[in-house]
Amino acid sequence: MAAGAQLKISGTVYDPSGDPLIGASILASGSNGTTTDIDGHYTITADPKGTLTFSYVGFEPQKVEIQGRQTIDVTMKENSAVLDEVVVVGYGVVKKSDLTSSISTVKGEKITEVTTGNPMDALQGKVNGVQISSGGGPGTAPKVIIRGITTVNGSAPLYVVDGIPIGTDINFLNTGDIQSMEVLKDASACAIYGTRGSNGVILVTTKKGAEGKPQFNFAASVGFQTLKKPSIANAAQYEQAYKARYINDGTTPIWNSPKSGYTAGEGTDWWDEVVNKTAMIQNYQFSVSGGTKNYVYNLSVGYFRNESQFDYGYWDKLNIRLNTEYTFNKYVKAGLDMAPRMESWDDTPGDFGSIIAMDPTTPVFRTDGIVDQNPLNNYQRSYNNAVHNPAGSIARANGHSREYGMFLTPYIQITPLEGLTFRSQFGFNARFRRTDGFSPKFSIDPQEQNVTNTASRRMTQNTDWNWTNTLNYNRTFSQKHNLTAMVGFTAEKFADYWVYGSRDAIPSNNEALHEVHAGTLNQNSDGNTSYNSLVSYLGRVMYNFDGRYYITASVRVDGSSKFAKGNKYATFPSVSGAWRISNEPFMRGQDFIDNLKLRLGWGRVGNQNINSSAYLTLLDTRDVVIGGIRIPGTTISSVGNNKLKWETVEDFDFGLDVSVLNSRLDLTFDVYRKKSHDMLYNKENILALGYPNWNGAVTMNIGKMQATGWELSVNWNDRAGDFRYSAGVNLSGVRNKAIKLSGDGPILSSDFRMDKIIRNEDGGEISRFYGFVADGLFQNWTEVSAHSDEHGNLIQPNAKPGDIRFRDLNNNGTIDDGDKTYIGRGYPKLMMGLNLSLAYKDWDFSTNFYGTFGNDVFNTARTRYAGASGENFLGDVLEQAWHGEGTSNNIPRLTATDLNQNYNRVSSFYVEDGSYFRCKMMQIGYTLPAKLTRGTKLRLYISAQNLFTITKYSGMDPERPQNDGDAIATGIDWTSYPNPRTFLFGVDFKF
Amino acid sequence: MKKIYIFALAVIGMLFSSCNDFLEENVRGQENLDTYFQGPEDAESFIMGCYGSITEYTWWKIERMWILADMCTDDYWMGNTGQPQEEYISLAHYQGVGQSNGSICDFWQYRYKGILRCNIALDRLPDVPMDENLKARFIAEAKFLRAYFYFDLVKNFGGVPLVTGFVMPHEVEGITRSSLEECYAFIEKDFSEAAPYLPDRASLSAGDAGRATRGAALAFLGKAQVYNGEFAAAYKTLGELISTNQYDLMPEFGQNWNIDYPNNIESIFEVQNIYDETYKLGGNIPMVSGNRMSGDMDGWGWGVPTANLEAAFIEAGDTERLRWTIVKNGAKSIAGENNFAGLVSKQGNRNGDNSYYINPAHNKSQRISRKHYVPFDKRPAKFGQESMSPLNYTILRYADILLLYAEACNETGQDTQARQALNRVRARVGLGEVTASGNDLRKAIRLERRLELATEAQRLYDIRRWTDDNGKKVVCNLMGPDGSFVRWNTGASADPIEMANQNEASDKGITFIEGRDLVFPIPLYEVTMSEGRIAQNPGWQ
Repeated sequence: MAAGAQLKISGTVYDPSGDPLIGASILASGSNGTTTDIDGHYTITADPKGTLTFSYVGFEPQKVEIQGRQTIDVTMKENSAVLDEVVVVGYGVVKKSDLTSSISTVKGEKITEVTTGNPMDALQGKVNGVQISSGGGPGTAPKVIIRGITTVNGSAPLYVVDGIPIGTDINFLNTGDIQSMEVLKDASACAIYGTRGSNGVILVTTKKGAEGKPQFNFAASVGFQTLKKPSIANAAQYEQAYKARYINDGTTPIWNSPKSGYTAGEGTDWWDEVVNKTAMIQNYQFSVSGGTKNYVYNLSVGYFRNESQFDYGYWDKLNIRLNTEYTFNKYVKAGLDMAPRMESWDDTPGDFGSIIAMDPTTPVFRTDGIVDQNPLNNYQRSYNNAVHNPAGSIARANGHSREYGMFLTPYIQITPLEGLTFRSQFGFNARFRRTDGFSPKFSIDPQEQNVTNTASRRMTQNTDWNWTNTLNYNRTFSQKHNLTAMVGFTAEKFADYWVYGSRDAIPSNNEALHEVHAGTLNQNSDGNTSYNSLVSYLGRVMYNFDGRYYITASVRVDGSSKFAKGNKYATFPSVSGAWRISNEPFMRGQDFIDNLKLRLGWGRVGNQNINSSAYLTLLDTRDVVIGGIRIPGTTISSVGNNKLKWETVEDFDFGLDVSVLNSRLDLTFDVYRKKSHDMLYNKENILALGYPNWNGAVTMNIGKMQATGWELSVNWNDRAGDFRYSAGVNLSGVRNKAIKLSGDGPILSSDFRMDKIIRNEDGGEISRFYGFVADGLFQNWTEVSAHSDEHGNLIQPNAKPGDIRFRDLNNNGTIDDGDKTYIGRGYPKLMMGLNLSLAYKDWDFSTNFYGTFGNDVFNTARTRYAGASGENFLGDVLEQAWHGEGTSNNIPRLTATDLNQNYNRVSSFYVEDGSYFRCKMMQIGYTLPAKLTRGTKLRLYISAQNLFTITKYSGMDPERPQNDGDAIATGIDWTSYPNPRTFLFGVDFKF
Repeated sequence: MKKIYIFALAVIGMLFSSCNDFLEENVRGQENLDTYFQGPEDAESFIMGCYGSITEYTWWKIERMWILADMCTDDYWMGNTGQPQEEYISLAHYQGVGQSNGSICDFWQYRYKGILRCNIALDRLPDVPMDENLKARFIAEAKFLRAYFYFDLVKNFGGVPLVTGFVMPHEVEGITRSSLEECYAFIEKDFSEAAPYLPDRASLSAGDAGRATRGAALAFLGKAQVYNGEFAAAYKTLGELISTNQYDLMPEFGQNWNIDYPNNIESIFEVQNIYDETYKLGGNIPMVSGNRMSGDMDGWGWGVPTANLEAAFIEAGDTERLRWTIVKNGAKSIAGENNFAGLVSKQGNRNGDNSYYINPAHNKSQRISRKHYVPFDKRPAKFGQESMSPLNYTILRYADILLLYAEACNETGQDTQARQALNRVRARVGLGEVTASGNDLRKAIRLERRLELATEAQRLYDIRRWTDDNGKKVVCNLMGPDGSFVRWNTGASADPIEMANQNEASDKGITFIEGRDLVFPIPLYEVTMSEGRIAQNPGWQ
């Protein structure tokens, strides 16, 4: 205890806008400290000759000499020197200014400004070089592609939450818990994650407590979503177009509706009947954090819920998180993070296709006066096609799941010497999921019925653990040599247990009987277990000389149970360097450039994203009847490949970071080239091989791919008096090329009319559409006969005027496989994000745009112009489809037999420009004046998501096709749930 | 300091050695092929799995093709007129656009899946420690089934790629279709090699009913030889089979395709179906061809007999086989139906006169097949759901063999023996002896095959292989703009019921093209995936 005279000092701490800052820490140069109260006031006793240190998260700490003063007011400065921010890297942290590889950071508040269940939705356009394509519908995860595609085997990055790799799905995480996300984009950053780093790594850091009085936060946003209704033919248009298909062929229409001559107002508008006008979305967050010098905590509760636009389907999740840390003494601290959660969902029906295709002359309910006691029987069977009544389908929808999850991460950190830290962390991740199904009994028609009902339940349990041990050493020698070294060992095990049971013939569809126990027949059960494990040794050295010359090298050795003996281990090294030119002596004396750094990195990463048993040919039971009884025979159920080994990606990155004009203007530029070899892929094969796998698919190490790209980010932020603003543009382009896929031909994928849409070929860009060139329509017989070979033989002998003219590219006088060519590309040439925020006094405004350019969409919904199988048509097809010379050069004539195969061929008829630019988010907020809210902070806002879209694309949503399909089969519109427009009202309250 | 290094090395060494065990995770719940074949039980179980490929107990994999085969002839309409006909019409009506047809695509792939099962058995069985006689039988069964599956493919598609082992894709890179000759040589070799090691029908225990016999191997061998035009060889093979006296005609025609007479003495190879609600190990053809026991019970189904077939029976004076082959709307009784009253009452007596009702809205000809029929009192509870029919499906029976033998005799100039065999088949149904010889006898045999084997998925392959007097294949004279079947249906002879129901066009076959329609197209998927090396059949571009 200081014996000298102590001075009592008081004052107020303000934030830059002049509002009192609650909970700021004040530390006197002795040892005592305090925090500011609700009005920003503090009182402290200290040595009059000492100093006070003011600190608060997000602000630069300030040291103030007391000099005998009794009142000291302080205005904190925002931590503008972002370069001194600490960035999380794999198994450690590093100052942003010391980074040698390409890493982007997004703060939690930029994530929570978007109301979504998946934080990656909020990253759209905010992280350069990351293509994020959202999918509509509750609980749909966006597709995330970091710096292009170097593998045909999944594109999802690895997510690491507080140091624990948790896989490729982040849906479970509460967005409100995120302190920051770091996107590791190049291999020199990812190599430390070895086998799982090839698609990039996203590190998530959750909020931790800080010393001080309890801080309470409450945030809520509630809104509704709407979908844009596509143009669908009404009953009158349908009838005429339907009949025209036959009449044009010279045959008699089979018309089964009870009457003819429908008018536009008659019939059923299936969209209005089945799709609700709005669906609700809501998000609530509550948290409290604080602590003492020895103990800090952060407790949060979050609830998110999103309904579907149908009467069935939702997703919600309730997350709780308690992060605590206890400091025993200057050598030892330990912590425990606990995050229990509960997710529930009813499976959202995927009925958009049948809503469009359903016969609009058919009423929702049967009209013959029969009212069955089973309400599911009272829907009308479609008169003129085989589409199942969508209202009936939704009434029968029954698929409910609930998942309980628990994260438990205890850790201990020991610092025996200054600069040397040993950390041992055990991550336990358990999930328990229950999926209940009930398929009700109903009978609308012999082809639309289920003669018995079935109740089923599936229980799965996943218990994964991860034990990570690292030793870090950090020291500066002779003031200029800065060294950080790390070695580590990790062991991981993943276990999956499941059991399934079902029974049929439940006495009724009564909700109380939706249980397996109620079934009376066909007791069915199944269950299995699978394990896989991973062992890794890692090391990294980071050295810099005088903050000017940087070098980092890392290595990871991974061993995996997914491969056969002899192929289990692989090594993943990386090395990167940087030259911080702005710290050179010759740059002193100028004040234009604040930071100028060149980066160069190389690394190798891997991929093991395959089924644990892919190297084995597995057997299963195949029942057969012999001698009048069932004999359980045996047969192969999948074909394995025992030569399987790791897939490897090698990556070069060159980057440039510049900050000028007092860091008001930041610019980052990167170019990279990623190259993979031994790519793993579940490749489809000819059927004659007889493989039991679907389309003969077998996992193989096939060939090489390459992604080359560039990224340019420019950000400007400044303030003028009360006006603060920032604007940022992210531009990136990537070209994904298949260098060599495999010895045996291209990879074709995406079934369409028994053909394939996508073709990936050696040397070519991936995910391109391959088919015939639709060269307009034949307008008359002269044009049909003009389309002939050198001998005057018709190239399309079945064609009539109004049919598509397909180009005979190989000039062999007939339209065959040799006439196919590339007719579109699934991946964009350019991606752009635009972020803008403005604040004036108490008002704030922010908006965020995202778009892709130069990509095409294969719009399968264009089959809806055909009316095949009597299905309904898009729009006013009678007017749009060819019906005489000059009426259309795009949509072919209506025909029932389609002998020209206008619709059965994969052709450029289906391909449209898929470029779009979309206002992903626009938000206006108002913070109530501090005087009014008595030191608390209350902000209200309204927000819109997917507000408007600039596109030429005719389908429901140009973004959704990029969400569907795997990495090498993107850009096909399968009429999946589109991204809705969302309007929200929100409140943030801090006290 | 040194000690620390040694300690550290020891620790790392321990970590590595324990990790090798840590990284061994066996697949649980499933055996794998590398360790599977340990003894006779494993071998037999695997052979049983091969038999499972015959129908897969799923209607759309194989059985749908069997119905489709008859739809492409003058015996069957597609039938179902109330529903989209896409899966069938492109082929059944010879529209020339069937490359993407699901029925042929599925049939192709599931036959090859069956072939792979046999190939694995043939690869692995030789090394299994077990009784050599039993092993020889298992190997023979695998060869028999492989040959049967290839025969089924060749009948439909012409020459196909011959995959003869369990191979990885790169091992058959660039594979093309073998010629028809090569395929038949392979098929005949497999059947010939299998025959000596298979048990006789007489020594086959009841518990083995449905498994391959020596007689079945010889019968298929002879049939393949006939299909391939090797009549002299077929004469020898089939003659040998007949002389074993292991098979005979059942006393009554209606005892075939009869739930009370499974695996009878006339049956040579038969799919075994049972009613099993849990495992669904029944057949499907009765369910989808007009007499299911659910929904409206009104003749809904795919594949319904034509009036033209009915007329053929009437013209031949063949009342016995007519009543066991076709059931017609308004029938006052059904052959072998002991509870006709119960059936009609269950239908709701919709004709009002206590006759059998078939709804014209669902059925082109208001006729259904009597062969794929289970009498009312023998129908199980869910006779209407997938794979719930207990009626066996006869793939090959002795009457077929007698007629093939007759054909082989006639083609090799041995008309006496031909007439003997033919008249045996005719005598059973009370028809008089045929005394003709030469070309007239040939015609009589061909007509007999139509009447005897109608709706048994035989006729399509007969009319594709038989050459008519004008040098064209028989199917070319039936179908096409001037085809006799097309003219029969569109002219004065047309059946009024069929004429009145144009939801399936009566001019079926008018678009038949000779240069294209003697085989089905190769599934487009296969052509695309092989980069065209597995070449499409002519005319199917």
